[in-house]
Amino acid sequence: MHIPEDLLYTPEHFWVRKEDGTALCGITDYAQGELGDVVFVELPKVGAKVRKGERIGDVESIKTVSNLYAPLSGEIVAVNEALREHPELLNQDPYGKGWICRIQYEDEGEWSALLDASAYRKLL
Amino acid sequence: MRFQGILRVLQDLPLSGYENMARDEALFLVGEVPTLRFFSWNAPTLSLGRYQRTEDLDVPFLKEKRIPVVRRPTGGRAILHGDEVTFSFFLPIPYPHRVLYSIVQEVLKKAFADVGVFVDTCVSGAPSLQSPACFSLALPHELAVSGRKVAGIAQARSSRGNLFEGSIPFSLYRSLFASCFREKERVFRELREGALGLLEVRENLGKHDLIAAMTARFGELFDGMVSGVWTEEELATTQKLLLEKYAPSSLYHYER
Repeated sequence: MHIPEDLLYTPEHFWVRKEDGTALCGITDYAQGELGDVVFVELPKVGAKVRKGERIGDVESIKTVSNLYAPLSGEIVAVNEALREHPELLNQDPYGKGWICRIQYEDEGEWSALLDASAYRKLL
Repeated sequence: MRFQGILRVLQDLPLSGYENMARDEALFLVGEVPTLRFFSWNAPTLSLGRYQRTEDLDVPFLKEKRIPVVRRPTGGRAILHGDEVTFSFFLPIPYPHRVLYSIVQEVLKKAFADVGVFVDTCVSGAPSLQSPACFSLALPHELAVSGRKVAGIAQARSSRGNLFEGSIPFSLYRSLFASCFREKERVFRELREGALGLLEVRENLGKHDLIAAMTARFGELFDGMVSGVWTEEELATTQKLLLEKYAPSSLYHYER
């Protein structure tokens, strides 16, 4: 199981990377493995205002619909449109081509509650 | 495997598909205790998986035959509900879905054996991922007799817990089921070759016997069980969902 050292994580198995003043995020390698083969991703809407911990979408795998939760509060400024046609990217490349959304975060303080790789590893 | 707490058992009278699914989603959203719910349908109803596309449906046929179409909160493909035992199981703690599939599979295996039906686990071959019908899509956690699926199961999960829905047909009504789709012949063939109604396995099997066996076997997972009632909050949430999401005229059921 791959847990990159340069990312931050939530207990709900999202990874977050600070990029150009925004937060790029997706699900972790552990999460994709636990989900199994993903057959559908319901993405959040661009422009939606979300609160940390709020449901922002769903993934379906093995006939299970699993909720996705916002890792930070802010506005969804981009989503990975490729997942609509290729949901398997979540399994194949969760930290790269399988990214889910980009959030214009509004509270710098929320970053301190995210887990580093070591803390996330201990959670599993 | 044993969960903490007392299992609440609910037995509903026949309801519309809309209310049945609104009740299941209410359980998922506001349920507080482990719950096993048995329910039935006041008319043959086609349920679709939460994100199933509707392009495979023969909508004119469904309208002509007045077969309601309703979305489930869980995943998977379409089921024509009629002569069957339908159940949902809510666990108010987030649980790995594959582990829960295994647990429920074992419970159902024991319950089936209690009523003289001996089932195996579906072999993971090359399931027909393109098929719109649930019973054409056998996954490793599902139950089969002689390689033919006898129960359809699916889940939804959130940070509050897992909702498990199951359909155990006594009669499959293959012709009517297949007619709900554009590719009728293909679906009929898949249903004929890949699925069985329990009355084809055991002619005189009674639903009450299976429900009693399932109740006892699910109960073994908990510290005890009690015949319960819906809470006011669950019923209020059901009514809200019926108005805002599950109304018969809602586009929600046809949105994909």
